[in-house]
Amino acid sequence: MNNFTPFVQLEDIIRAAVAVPQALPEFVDQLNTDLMQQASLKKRKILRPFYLRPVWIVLFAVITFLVVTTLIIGPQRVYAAVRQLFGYIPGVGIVEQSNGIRVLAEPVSVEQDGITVTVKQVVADATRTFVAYSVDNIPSSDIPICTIPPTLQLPDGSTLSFLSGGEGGIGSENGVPMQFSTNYTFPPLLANVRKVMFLSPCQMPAIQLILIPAPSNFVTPAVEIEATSMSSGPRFLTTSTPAPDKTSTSRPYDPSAPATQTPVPHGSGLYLDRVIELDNAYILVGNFTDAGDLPGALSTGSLEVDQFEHPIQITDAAGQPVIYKVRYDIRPAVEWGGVWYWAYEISKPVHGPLTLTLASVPVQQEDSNQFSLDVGQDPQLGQKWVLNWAISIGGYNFVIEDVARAENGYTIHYHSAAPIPEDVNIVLYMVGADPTKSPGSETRHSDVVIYSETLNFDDTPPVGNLTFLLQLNKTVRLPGPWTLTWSPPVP
Amino acid sequence: MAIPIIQTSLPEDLQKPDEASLIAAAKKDPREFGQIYNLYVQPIFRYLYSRIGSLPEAEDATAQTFLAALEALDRYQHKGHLAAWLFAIARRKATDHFRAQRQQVPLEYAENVPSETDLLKQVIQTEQITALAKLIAALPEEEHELVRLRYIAGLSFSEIGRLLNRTEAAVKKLLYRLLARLQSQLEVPHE
Repeated sequence: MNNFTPFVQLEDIIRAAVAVPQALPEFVDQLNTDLMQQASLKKRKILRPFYLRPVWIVLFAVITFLVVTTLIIGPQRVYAAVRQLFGYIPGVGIVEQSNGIRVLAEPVSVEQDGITVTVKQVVADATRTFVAYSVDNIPSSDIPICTIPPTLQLPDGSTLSFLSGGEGGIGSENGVPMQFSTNYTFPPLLANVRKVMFLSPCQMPAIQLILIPAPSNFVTPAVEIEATSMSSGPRFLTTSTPAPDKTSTSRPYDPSAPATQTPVPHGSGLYLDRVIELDNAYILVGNFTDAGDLPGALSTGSLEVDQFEHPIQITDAAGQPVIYKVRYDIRPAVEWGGVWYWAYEISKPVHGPLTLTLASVPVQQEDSNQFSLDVGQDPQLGQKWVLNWAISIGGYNFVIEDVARAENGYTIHYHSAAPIPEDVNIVLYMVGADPTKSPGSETRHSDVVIYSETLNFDDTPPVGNLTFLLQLNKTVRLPGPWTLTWSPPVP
Repeated sequence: MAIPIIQTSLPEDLQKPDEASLIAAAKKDPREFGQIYNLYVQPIFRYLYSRIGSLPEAEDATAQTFLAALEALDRYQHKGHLAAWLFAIARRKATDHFRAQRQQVPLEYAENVPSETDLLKQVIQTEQITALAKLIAALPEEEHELVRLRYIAGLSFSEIGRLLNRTEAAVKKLLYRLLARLQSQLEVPHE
């Protein structure tokens, strides 16, 4: 018996026992095509603003011990007309009924060359015009498909461009033509407008949309009630870092998005923006805002992705968990830096007060260092500058080994003198330039990690004095908890 | 007699692609997502096929996984766990599938499609493979999932740990205990 026989043999047998086939090449190719079409649609979405600010890892380690809890009392937002009448349309969101709601009587289609464009739904209220449509039977010969957004043409000949939307999925099966459906939000129509033209993108015929008053049962009654709440959360005793820039963010692009950044009178924390009451449920709409007093920039994108679920827990007066639905059709589109919006529907009866708890938030830590190199005015392909310069970033020591002139840019070799944790990202920039990156390599050894990165340029690579910036960033969980307590109105 | 156990692990890739760069590129231009897709389409498909057991439905779940990943890419904050993120999406898609179907196909009942490991199967004694397939099929779901993630999807211990919300050491311990048990049940002949 061989006492040193490892599991290797057994693992080989396991692999054979559980073997499954590879995906068929035609499927892989087809899905790749579908994804590229989806990516083309996604590429033209409105870019959302973000902000970053330097946070020093060592400082963070100290200040997390200096936490106090404060109690803050709402309301954060008081409406002039509490108990304002609204309506709710699933999939569309909250609609404002003061001028009436106009809708498309039934779906309308046009067909050309086998391709069908169908406007499925139009909802026009005093604040916006919602249009949902689909394109079917797109033949593979039309790949890449046209992704120009539609416009609405008014009776006076003027046109409306979309404010937001464009998200949606492309569908196809092997060999079956492609299909996609999406929706867009346009500016509101004047109250007397009953006909608009849907100018189909991509040389498809226009579609006349005739709007009619919404049937009486079309809209679920909804009432906005006063959003009064009580919040608590930790305070971090640190030198205040700049709050998210309120003026550099782009314009609000959808009436459902707040026109101004959420006021943060009590610093970072949970804020309740509005409460909408339906016949059988309440919808709480709020946010977590980074007011600039956290020891690191809030990583809003990680709030949901990190835990693979929505991070807020809701409990009732007895401390029992409350089941809720996430209302994506009501949640404001993320528009303001450092603000994460949420909208939850809670079925009646509600045994209040309800406590919403956010146990922790992800914040971004960064540190960086830079180095400069003069490559002269005529660096030659393959020319290499051996540097072996030591730099320190975020407590880690690196050695910049060399920089070499590559075909379309520069290749930089560097290594860390100690293993870098896998959750620390390392990003190399060239200051004052916007190169594209080739996939680099990262070779991990027991005591050193060797990196190689190439910065490529579409045009002639810069020459002369080049400054490179090496940045380390890491998302860490900043413990709270932050809580928000809300009581339903007494009947 | 069963073979004494010496704990080993599969060799981890020493030179992984720079996923951070791939993700950054894909966030800048979603069409660059294709590079991520090419890296993971086969492991994701194999994993979903092993769970679903039907080629067209595994293909459908694979497509849904990557479309969802592409949509969510803007919100993904890379912390070195791209595989765990993608497989978390794939697991949700598999769960969605079973919610609709109300059934789960054990690995041993997967459709018999020729695979790359057929040659290996011929070399290793068929009885062992058959016996092991039955043992694996009878495992509790948690251990079954561990087998899928490790031996079908080919994930590292670290990636499995991230996915299952356990430490890397805990995953290793779980797997080695499982292997030890399987080995003792299998009575693997040795040289």
